[in-house]
Amino acid sequence: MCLAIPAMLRSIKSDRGIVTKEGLDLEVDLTFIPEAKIGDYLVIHAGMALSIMDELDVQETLMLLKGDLQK
Amino acid sequence: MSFITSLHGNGARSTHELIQNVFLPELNNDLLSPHDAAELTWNKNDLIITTDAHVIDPLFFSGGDIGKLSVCGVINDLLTRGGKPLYLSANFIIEEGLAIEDLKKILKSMAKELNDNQIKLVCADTKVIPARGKPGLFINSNLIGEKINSQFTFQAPQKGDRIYLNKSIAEHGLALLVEREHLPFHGVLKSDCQALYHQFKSLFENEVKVSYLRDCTRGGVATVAHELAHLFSLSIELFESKIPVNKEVKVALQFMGLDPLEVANEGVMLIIAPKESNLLNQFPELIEIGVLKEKSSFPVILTTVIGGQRIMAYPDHNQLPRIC
Amino acid sequence: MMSFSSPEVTKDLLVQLEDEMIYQDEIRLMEFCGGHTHQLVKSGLMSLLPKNLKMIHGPGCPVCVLPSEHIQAALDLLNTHSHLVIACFGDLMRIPTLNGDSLLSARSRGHDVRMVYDPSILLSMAQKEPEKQFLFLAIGFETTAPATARLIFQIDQQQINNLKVYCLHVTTPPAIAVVMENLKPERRPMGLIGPGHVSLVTGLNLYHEAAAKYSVPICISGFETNDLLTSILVLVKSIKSMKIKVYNEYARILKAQGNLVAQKLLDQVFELRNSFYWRGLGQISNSAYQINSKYKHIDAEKCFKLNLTKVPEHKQCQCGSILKGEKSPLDCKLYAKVCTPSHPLGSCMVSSEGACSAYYAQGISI
Repeated sequence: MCLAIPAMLRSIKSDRGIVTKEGLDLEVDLTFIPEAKIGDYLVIHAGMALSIMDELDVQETLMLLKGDLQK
Repeated sequence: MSFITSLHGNGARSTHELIQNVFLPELNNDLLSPHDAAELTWNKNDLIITTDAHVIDPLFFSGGDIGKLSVCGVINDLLTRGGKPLYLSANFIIEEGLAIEDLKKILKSMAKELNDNQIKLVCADTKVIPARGKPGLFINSNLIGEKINSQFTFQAPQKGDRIYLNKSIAEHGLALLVEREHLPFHGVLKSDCQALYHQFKSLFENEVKVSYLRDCTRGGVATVAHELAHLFSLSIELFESKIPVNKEVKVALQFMGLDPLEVANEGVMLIIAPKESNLLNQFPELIEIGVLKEKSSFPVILTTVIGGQRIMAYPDHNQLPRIC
Repeated sequence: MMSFSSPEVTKDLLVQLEDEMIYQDEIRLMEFCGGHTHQLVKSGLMSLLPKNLKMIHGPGCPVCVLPSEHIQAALDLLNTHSHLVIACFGDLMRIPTLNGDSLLSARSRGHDVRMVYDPSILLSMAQKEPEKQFLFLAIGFETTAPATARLIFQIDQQQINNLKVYCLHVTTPPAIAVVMENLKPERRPMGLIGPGHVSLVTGLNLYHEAAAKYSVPICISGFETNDLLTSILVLVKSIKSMKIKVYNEYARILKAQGNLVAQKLLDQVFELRNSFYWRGLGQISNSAYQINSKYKHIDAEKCFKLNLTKVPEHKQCQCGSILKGEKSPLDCKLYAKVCTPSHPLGSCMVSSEGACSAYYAQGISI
């Protein structure tokens, strides 16, 4: 369940903001991510931003997990 | 600001004024008959005819309106059987309360498509009915034409034939969904409603080897695939990596959990041609998206981007956005 | 993050997985979340997994586990309240209720049923149409509950009197428990793929208890093809080395503590019901939210007389057992013969995330 898509925050107005992805804009509620700043990639579900996405690709993720496996 | 009322449907003076003041300024031409029937000269051997009803809501959308749709739709349908459009007959069922300015805009859109494609409206009728909510309009269009090339014949569809599309998909249905359900996506989403006659008439003039043409409208490419698999008693394999979808459409569909293959189009032509056809020489813009195969228990299969497979079920419902 | 959907990376990961699974006895994994089920099938990954790797499709599908009597209760209100507007997510529109009715059918009959993507749009809708009474059907797991909590908070703050919420949110850990405790050892999953988006809200703590109690590694996964494949790979390695741990595959987005602001609002607006009846899984205690008394003026269960009449399942429908993982869709006599995506009889086929819908899309038939 839970379709949540990352998109870039391009403007903030009080507790709401506009995120953008490939030319499509969506207005979202930023209440749950008070630290969000312009340029951040936010994960959006049902109009709410729930998390900020970090730069981490598959290889880096696998390394982290392999580390966990070995601990 | 004036509105359509039941008087406009009484068949008497108000109806006459509506026709004189609203319909004729946009649609009048030398063949539009003031009588109960239109008399046309027909000295061709073949007659091609198609009909369609347009009940779309909202009437106006990004990329077009019901007027444009009511002409482009039937032009494309006629084209799929090699038809050159000539004469249109149309019925307008108008709900009380529709703004006359809106009606004028719609008729203007129709007139533009008719003029661009050298089609004449030869007869029309209007009725007025009580509104059930927001006042709307229904248009039934019937288009008559002749064969572009009476020598042209279709090849028999067979396994190995390739399936092509002329452009990216899912735009019309998505634009309408966003407007109708007031979804909060803003940007470049636009219906792809367009007439394809001028683009493809040379296919018939030059007798390009093709086995089938189909206008992909309601239910999307997946629906057409199922219909054709049934019609030909074959099965269809589509290649996900080849299906053309514009970036912003892909993103909007991702947000809403929708499959582009199941979303309606209005300017997408699907063409099936034998492998050895010169179709691509004539139309290099076409995109190959699939192939006809032997009949199987699953009529339509999708080979995914990662090389896996899944069944495309026959779409049976309106596409609705999900959050889960 | 292109690499999470890159087909080249998929190929590479599949080769690694094949290597791990060669000469291996059957490994059973369960993906709890319906969104994961959907992605496994949609991407075609299910058709490429090694044959000795079995995926059990879990009950984390809010549509699948919602008893349709709640929808029927809302539909009944349309007959007695002429100015009622029912608002819901698109997911609910097609669920069949009594006599095959649905929210979509009600809309076709002229009732005011509106679909929303972002429930906050209801705030301005209710203000613009004061003569109407709006009722929002709030479904979903912990991912969606914060959006509802935020809506309720704003309704209260803006003193909107004509918008009420029917809270039908359910929680993840009790459902995991029911599945793990009911399954015989030979059917029980040996590893769990945990719900990535639920965890954005809840954090990872709730999985440590489950991992220890059921002795299974749990990998919380993202939703791209390569997220799922990485999670499967990690679980297989963990199972082979007999490690019981909680792994965070979704580290680029998922923080271990979850979203503390959202958790705080959930505590403020909701409380756990003593017990809630889940379609298929039965009565489960402390598994669903209700609106707490501070916001009772917004709670549909307090503002309307909701008539809950159990909607009987089709006699031969096996959705209950399938949701618990006890049976597969192939064990159901109706599957693919009478019950299909075009004519769904049970919730596992209505939802595109349900196990039956997933099996059908893979072309698995009897």
